[in-house]
Amino acid sequence: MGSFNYHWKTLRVYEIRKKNDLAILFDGENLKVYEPEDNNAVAYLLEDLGSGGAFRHNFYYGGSPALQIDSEIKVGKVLRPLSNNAIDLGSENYKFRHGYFGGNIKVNDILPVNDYIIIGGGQQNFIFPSIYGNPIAYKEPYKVEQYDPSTGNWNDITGNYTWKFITDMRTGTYVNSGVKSPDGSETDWRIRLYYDLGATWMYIHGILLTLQHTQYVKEVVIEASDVSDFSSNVVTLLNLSNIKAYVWDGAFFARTSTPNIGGRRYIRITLTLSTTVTTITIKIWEIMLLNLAPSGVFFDTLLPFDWDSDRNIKLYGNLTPNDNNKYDIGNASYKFRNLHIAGFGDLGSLRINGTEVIDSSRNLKNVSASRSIITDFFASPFWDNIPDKPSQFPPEPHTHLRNEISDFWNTPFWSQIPDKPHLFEVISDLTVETNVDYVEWTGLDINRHGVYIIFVTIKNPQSQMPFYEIFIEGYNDPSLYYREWIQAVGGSLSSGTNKDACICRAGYNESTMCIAFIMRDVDGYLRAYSLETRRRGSNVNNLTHAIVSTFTITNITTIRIQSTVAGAIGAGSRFILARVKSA
Amino acid sequence: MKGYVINVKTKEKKLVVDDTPLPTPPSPRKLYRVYKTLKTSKGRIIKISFSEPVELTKEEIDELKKRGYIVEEIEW
Repeated sequence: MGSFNYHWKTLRVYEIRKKNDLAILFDGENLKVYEPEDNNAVAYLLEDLGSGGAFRHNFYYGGSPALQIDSEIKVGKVLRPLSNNAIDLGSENYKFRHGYFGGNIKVNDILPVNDYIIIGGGQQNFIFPSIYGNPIAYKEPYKVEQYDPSTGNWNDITGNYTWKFITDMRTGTYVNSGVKSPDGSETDWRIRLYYDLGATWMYIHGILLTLQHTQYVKEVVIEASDVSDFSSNVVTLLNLSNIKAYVWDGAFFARTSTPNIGGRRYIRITLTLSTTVTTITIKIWEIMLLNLAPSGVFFDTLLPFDWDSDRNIKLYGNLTPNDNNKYDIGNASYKFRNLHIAGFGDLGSLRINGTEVIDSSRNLKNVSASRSIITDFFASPFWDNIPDKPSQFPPEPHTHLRNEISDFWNTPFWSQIPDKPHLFEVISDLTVETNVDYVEWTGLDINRHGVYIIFVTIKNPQSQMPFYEIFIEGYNDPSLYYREWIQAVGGSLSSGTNKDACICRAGYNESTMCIAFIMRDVDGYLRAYSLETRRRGSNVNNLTHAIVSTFTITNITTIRIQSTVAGAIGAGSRFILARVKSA
Repeated sequence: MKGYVINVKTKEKKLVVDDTPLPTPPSPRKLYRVYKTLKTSKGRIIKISFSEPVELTKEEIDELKKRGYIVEEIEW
């Protein structure tokens, strides 16, 4: 009907059929295209054509809407590109704004437009996929500083917070900055955290911050250096210094622009967090430096212990139970083999093969010992605890052989004899083993012992000729004593008075010998009298020294012989101290 | 100072070393005795003590020696 050049002007029609089947129907404001061979199945439908108001275009497929166009474009079927991995959604310059998905997104890569991602939904920590290692897991910063804008200084705050909480990978632990806005104005908390990676990591690929009650992340900078104070050789891995990302309760992720730390050992993370809230303070729950590393390295860093292929475990820290007196090491059926401890073992009690040998009150039980292991029975604690041993003195009559006692004067019996004779007794016999300045005796009691006599021979190894002086009771100043001396040498006598307490002298590499008698006189003054001989050959000297103190004492409990030249009491010198009256 | 301390009751002997310096005593007086010699007919020299121990200055010692006296320091 009609031809290429001659057309009918108007075709007014309600429906078009293919043979008997309905093909196209103009139904009111709608245009319906029916499926072939089925008068009831609308394949395509354009609705409300020309209504002007609720203009809708529905494209039907299979009896249900496939594409609906009105105020929104709605898709009723699977939306996919015609060819695989060749068609884009949006473009570099024309991006969709938000995307909403109820299920999963499966992609090969995510490239954030702003170099960071904010992950909302609460401050609880989560583990990133195991392909990510965390080089600062369980590490504590060796230094933390806080910026003071009023002075421009970074102040050390290492000891102000428990910083290990932000790398312990645990829920429930965090660092509360204590920072809030005083008046609703934006208040910054700017800190720098220094970590020692031990030169075991090569790359840092990202950072994840888990924050609470933080309004804005304004600065995230990651630097690496091979010196701990970052004074040189610093590389910047990430520099987000002019951002303002809103993270109230959530996580903030950023990728580093320069992941390679180039073998540097130390990492410094600079953060500026801010808030305008006047009631709640900024909190950091966790900081992770993420690394595309093998899972083994991930666990090596994450866990505070190591293991080898034989399942041996090596700890990097203390092993502490989570509750007191509740958990065992080994059990009665499966015991550890050996126990090696370098320090002490602090035990409640001790059992050997199931039998208690030391109880909790430190009583020894169920043990035996051969007689031969006791070498000094009377000094052991057993002797005092024998309930029925003889305890009275003198003991019941008994006899001992004389040769049973080898050192009677040192036995406790001697001092207990009430009517024993007073005997001259040597109470000290000292041979000097090294050159010294003085020799001193303590524990003396001249009121009981009456007189002390010191037999002295001294060798002087020093080039100077010293005075060997006698001091008592700590009065070690020679000016507190007077000495009258008489010297006979070569047949001539000399004498003189001096203000010192010399009992003898010896020339270089020569010996002297003297006998000093010491008493406290009736008036309380020290009286000492020394008979000395020094020099050799025809130059032999015969001297006496009479010494008296200028002070009084009530007893003589210490006596010192001291040289005026250091080290002049030479090795081999001998001092024999005797008391005249026994105690 | 360095020295031995012996407790005669316990028989304990300790070698004690501490930072206390050994006191430096004042320089002791120098005492001299003056002698004169006599020569016998047999040629023997007899030394006669001519003084008590006495403190002398260097000038006095030199003067006495020039006058034929022997001046010896006493090791007292």
